Amino acid sequence: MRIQAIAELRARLSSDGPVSSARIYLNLARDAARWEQKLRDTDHQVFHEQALGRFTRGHELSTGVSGFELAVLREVARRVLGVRASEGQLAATAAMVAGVSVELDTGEGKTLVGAFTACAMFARGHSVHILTTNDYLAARDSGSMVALFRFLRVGSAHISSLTPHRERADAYLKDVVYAPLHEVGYDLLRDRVAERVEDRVRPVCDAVILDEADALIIDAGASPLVIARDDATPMSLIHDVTAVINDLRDVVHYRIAPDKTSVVLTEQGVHEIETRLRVPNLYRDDARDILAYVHAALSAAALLERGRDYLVRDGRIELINTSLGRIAHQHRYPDGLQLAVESKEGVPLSRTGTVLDAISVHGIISAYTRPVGMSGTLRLVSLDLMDHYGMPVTRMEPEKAVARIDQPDLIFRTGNEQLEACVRMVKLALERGQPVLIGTASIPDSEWLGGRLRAVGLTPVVLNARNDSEEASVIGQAGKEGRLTVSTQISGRGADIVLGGGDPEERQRVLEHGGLLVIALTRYQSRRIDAQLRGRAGRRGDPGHTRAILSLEDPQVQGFAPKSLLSRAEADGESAGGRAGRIAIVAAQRASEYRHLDRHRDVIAYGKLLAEQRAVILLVREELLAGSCEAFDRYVARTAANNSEHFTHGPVDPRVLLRCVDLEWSAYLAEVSIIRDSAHLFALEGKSPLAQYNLILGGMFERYWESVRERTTRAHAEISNGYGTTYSGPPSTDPSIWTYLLESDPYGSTLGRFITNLRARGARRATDRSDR
Amino acid sequence: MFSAVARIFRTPDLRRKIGFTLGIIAIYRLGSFIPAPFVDFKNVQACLVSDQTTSGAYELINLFSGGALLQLSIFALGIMPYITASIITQLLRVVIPHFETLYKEGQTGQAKLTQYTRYLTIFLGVLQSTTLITVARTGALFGNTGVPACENLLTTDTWYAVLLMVITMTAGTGLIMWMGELITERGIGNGMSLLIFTSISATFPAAMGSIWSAKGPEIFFMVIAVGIVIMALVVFVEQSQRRIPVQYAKRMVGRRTYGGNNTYIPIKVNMAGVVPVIFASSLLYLPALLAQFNQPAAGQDPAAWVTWINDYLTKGDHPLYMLLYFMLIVGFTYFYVAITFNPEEVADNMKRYGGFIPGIRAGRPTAEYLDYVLTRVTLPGSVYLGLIALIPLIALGLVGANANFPFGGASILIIVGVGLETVKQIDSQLQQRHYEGLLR
Repeated sequence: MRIQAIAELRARLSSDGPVSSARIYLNLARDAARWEQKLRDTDHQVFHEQALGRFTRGHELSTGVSGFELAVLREVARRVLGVRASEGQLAATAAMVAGVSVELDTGEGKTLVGAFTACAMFARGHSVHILTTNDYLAARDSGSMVALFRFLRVGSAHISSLTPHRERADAYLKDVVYAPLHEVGYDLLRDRVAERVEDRVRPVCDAVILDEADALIIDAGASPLVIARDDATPMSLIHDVTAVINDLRDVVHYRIAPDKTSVVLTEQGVHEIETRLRVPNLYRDDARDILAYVHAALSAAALLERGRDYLVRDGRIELINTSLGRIAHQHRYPDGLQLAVESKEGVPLSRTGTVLDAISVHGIISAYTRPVGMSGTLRLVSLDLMDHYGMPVTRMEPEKAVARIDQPDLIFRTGNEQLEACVRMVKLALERGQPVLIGTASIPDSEWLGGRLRAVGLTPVVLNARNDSEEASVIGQAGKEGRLTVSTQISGRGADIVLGGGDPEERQRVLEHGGLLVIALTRYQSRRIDAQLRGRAGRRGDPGHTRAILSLEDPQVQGFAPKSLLSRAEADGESAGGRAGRIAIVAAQRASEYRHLDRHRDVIAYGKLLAEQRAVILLVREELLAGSCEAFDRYVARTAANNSEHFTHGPVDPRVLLRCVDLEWSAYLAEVSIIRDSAHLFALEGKSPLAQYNLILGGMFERYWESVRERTTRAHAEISNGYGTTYSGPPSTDPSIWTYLLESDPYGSTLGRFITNLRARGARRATDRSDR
Repeated sequence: MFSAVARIFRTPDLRRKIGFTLGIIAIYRLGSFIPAPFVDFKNVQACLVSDQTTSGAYELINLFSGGALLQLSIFALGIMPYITASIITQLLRVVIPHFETLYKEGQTGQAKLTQYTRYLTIFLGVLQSTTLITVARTGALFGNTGVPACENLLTTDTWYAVLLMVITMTAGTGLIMWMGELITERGIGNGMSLLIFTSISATFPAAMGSIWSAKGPEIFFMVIAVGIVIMALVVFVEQSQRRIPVQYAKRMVGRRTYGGNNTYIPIKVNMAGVVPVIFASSLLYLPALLAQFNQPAAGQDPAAWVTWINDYLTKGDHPLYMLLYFMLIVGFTYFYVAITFNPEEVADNMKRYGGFIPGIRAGRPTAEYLDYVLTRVTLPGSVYLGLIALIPLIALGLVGANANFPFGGASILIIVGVGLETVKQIDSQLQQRHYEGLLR
């Protein structure tokens, strides 16, 4: 007991994050072996009936799974899919049915575990969604498991971004639904703004299995999903602004922050813009629109890079998800920024949208009663999963011990030295016949490296978001003898590199050469992404090597490492691989990783009250949809006690009221986003920004009802005057992604600020002295 | 107001949180009365009664421990080691780059810093309890009072008795630290602040009681009346601020109905809080300490400068002392505000996120404008701080109150500050729970 407590304490203190023990689940899985032979010998018809009896909806009442149940699942998979489920897979199933998320190494067969868990949950009376990161995975997993579901007579379906609206309602009626997380999110949003009952598709949010849970929750978690209504076409002004901004020069007219997250105009820059646009003062109230465009255009020009942050394809801007290295379909920058990027690239401007409603990933997952996740990398975020989603995490050790060798990092001062070392290492490996996979930081990096490797006579295959349609074939060949693949984060998650490319003889030869060699040329924005890339080598006990060849010139290191460490590391000269360099690189990655985690936490914290307010409105909305204004009256009577006069004079059209409730919510959200942006200023008076933000929202929400009332009265007056709102059907839904770009609290506590500024002054004085 | 109180009790979650906080506070107070082992309870009480003028050296610490220090109770050290430790960890960021990196790593890194703070607290607890017990053993805890009871505060002074006392008091410190964190986590308000609040208000009755017994009821009620006026004044000034409106460079469709004046830079009249008062009184204590170390052997005349210090700088009611105290506070206020509110930094940050003060160009003009407002708003703020800090000294002359006079100085600033902060937190919590009833 005591020893366990100490072990738990140590786990809590270690940076890996705590995990709960997997022992009981492994025991269950071992227990399943008792029935394996007996079930195998059972006649097919008899077994089918036995299995069906076991897995009928709501048949099973116990929350935990039994060894026998696991044995039946294993036998079903053997008969239907022709694979024998491993002990680890059964144990993972047992854990997930119990509500414990599982870290399962690459190649251990997560897809089957997901399907098993879904069947077991189905038997317990649940409807199950299995959510993935993209369309492809939802379709692939659903397709490969359909036979299993059919055998057990479990209805299954999959939804992708291409699934038409009317088919979705039917799909959601099925027992098991495979879908990308954001598709379910958009369906929830569309339902929330639907103006007719029959327009809704009603996803049943009961049990959910999150595939690649950390990518879904943490990496995508900071960007809320947004539904927007088309708005006026933008002014031509944006092109003028872009033209001026394009002529500005770094340092002279603007300065970029070292971490490349923000840019500011210098005085000269402001002057230049004011003269060229003929604006007397950019910061006057009447120039607000222009300033908004200037701000957006400057960010687009100085912070966003084509190829790294977005691609231009078919006359459209497509955003790249930097943690997955893939194109983020249906993603957009916040309003003005999107236009600015389009103007910068000279593609047709898209229509701007007014945000109608938003939901965070946390909001989507909170809609489910039983969330559980699986991934190859969960431990590092287990504290966040526990704190914000109530999801405990356990780890399943792989069946065969990992035979991969992770060699120590090589650290160089400059990118050139890094490249030379990389080429040397690649040549050595290829001479042996060992296949090599190189991970780079971005699309331009991968293409540049591909060019350099070609220049020294090698034949690399480059894979990135630009040619992701060839992904399956490139990855399929990547394990072949003497093959060289250059890639981005894209070859991390979900890419299964089979040694020898499926040819057993070649596989044997590759094994003798030492398996796959994975070289990482950068540290990604989190340790999990690094681990995913490393996991491509040495799957299922195969041999393999990994090596990180890094340089201090890496933008992440330059932006995030403490300056003192960096200068010490650079002073080490040629052998920058010293202690200082190593620490600088680790510190830079942690800073970037934790900043992301903090942002995720902020989105949750700042979204909480808003979600509650939205829930109240949705309740009222529900009755309005049914054609009754009663709930609205009742609610207003209850909250706005000071406005004793009855809310609605005379008959009110519930449809008009409904429209007004929605429009007013949209205006409300716009205001909230401004309050959110300025909340950090409250720290200056020693108040908690979050508490103050909540207080303001509380007051604003009281006024919300008042505004709806005014709007409704106006609308009715207009209608009776003959030129009112006409109903042009439901608003078109053009989903777009909108993120907060602000740290919650750049100021910190008063004492903290005091010390930070004292430090900064000391440093400035020191540099002044050395200048003299 | 009463409806708000009623709402608190109707909200089960909030009710539980407040109950929890009060429970912890009760335990905290109880612990301050339980003597550490081997302490001669009767002698200590006798000494406390005889000792009217609390010795200056432990004044602030004794105040922060709610009088538990001189009681030699198991919570004798109070929350002080924790406060000191957190200040030290913050200061160490200036010299240790590792700490600075952790600080910048956001919540995860700061959790590590908290961990270091805890270790340091325990270390300081050992250090301070050892000092305290050593002083108590030699009988010098209450100064040279001449009362025989004060010479024998401990029943035994074998080494294991001392060891046990050190362990007990250190454990007490650890427990207090934990209780503070529990309040922050599961109760309401900031645990550390609330415990200080508790300690300071715990000295109120005794301080007021001594006025009653020394000066009679008329003066007593007069002091109460004046005290309430002062407190109202402090509440008023603490909430006074200049709000500089801020706009954001965002395309806003339509009119702004809701938050018209919710986006602003707050410039408080008292931006510095209680810190300058503590700085100034600590600094002014130095000459007295110096003089104490240079007391000549019995029979000899002290050096001239020692006499001068003793005459002018140790007694709080001397005008020179008061003047110096006042000037120091004004100076420290400006210093502290200048460092914590860096107009250039604020202007830069605003610019980065597209914020601006309407009509004023971003960047340097904004910084200059902020500086202009800040300097002017801080002037009344610093004078106010100086005057509030002088109140106990004046009261000392007028009604013979002791230095812990509740309606002035650091005490009232802390009490009002913590009080306001906690009420705000309860308000914000109420806001959040507001909708739960409607959803069901």
